[in-house]
Amino acid sequence: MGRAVRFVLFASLFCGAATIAYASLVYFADDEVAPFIVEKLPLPLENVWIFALKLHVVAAAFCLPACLILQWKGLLRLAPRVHRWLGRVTGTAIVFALGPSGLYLSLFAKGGFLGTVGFALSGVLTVACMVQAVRHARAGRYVAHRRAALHVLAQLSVAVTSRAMLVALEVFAVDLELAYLIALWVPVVGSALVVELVVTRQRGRHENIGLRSLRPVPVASGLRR
Amino acid sequence: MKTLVFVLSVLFLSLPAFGGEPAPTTTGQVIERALLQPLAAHDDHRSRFARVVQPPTQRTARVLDTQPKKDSQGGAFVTFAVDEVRGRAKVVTKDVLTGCVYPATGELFVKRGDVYYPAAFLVGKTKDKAPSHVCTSPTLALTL
Repeated sequence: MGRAVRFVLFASLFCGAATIAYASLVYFADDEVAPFIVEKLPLPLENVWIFALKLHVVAAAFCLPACLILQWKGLLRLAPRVHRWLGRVTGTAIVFALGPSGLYLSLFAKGGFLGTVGFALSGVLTVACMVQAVRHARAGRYVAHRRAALHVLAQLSVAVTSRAMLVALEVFAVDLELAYLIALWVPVVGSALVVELVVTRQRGRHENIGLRSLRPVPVASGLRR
Repeated sequence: MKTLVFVLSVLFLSLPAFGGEPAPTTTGQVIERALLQPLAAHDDHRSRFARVVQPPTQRTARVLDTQPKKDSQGGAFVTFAVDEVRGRAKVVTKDVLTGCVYPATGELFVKRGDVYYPAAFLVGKTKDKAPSHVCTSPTLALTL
C-alpha cells in the first residue's frame, strides 16, 4: 500500500477513533441518558447491558488507537519492547473486555438476526485473530503475526467506517434498518477482504524480489550451470 | 423602588399581550412545545458520528383521536403519532413515534414497545417508565 494512502487511512482512523471516544463520554454522564441507550430501551437486564456497553466503549477507545500505534514500524524499530508490551495489554483488553462485551451487546443489536450475526462475526474474528497474532509472535512467525494483527485492526476499524456509512446513507433516506445492516456487513466483510488483498500483494512483491535476486552466477569458460 | 419597578416589568412582559410566550391552547401546540421542540434542540447538539439513528430533517405530529379518552384515574388524554421526513428526497415515514398527551396538564408520554415513557425520556433526561395507567383507557384494555 502506498505510503501516502497508508498515512491518510491511518490518520482518518485516528480521527474517527478520537471522535467516537469523545462522543462516548455521554455514557458516563450523570445528568443525561445517552441517545444510543434511549434508542435501545426497554431492555431485559438493563443494568447488565449498560455495564457491557460502558466496558465495550472504554476498551474500544483504548484498543483502536493502540492497534494503529502497533502498526507503526518506527515503534517496532526504535522500541521493540514497547511494541511487545503494548501488544500484550491490547491483546488482553481485546480478549477479555472488548470481545465478550461486544458479543453480549450483539444479542440486542439493531437489524434483528442479521445484525446480531454481523456484530458477533466481527467480534469472533477480532478475538480469534488477536489470539493468532499473539501465538505467531511468540513463535517468531512475524509475517503471519502481521497478517493476524492487520485483521484485528481491520475489524476494529469497522467502528469508524460503519458510522461514516450511516451518515452517508441517511442523505439518501435509505430505510433505517437496511442502512444499519449495510453499514455493518460491508465494513466487516470488506475490511477483511482488503487485508487479504494487501497481504497477498505484499507476499507477491516479496516473492518477485526473491526471484530477481537469483541472477546467473558467472562460471569458468567452457562450463555453464 | 427600582427593584419594585423591575419586578413589575418582568411580570408584565411575561404576559402574552406584552410579547411573552403564550401558553399552548391546542393539543397540537402542546405536542409541539412538549415534544417536537425539545427533540429538535436535542438533535442539534448530539453527535452525528454515532450508531444512533440520524435525526430527521423534519418532524410533524398528528392527533389521532377526535374525542379525548379517559384513563383509569379519570385523566383525559388523546393519542398522537409523529411522522418524520428524511434525506434529500424528503422521504416521509409515518408513525415513527406514538404516544398520548393530557391536554389539561400538558403531560406527554411516548410509547416504546408496550411501555410508556415521559417525553423527557427521548431527550435523555430520564429512564423511568410512566405509571401503568397513563395512555390506557380501561374500556380499551378490557376489550383487549
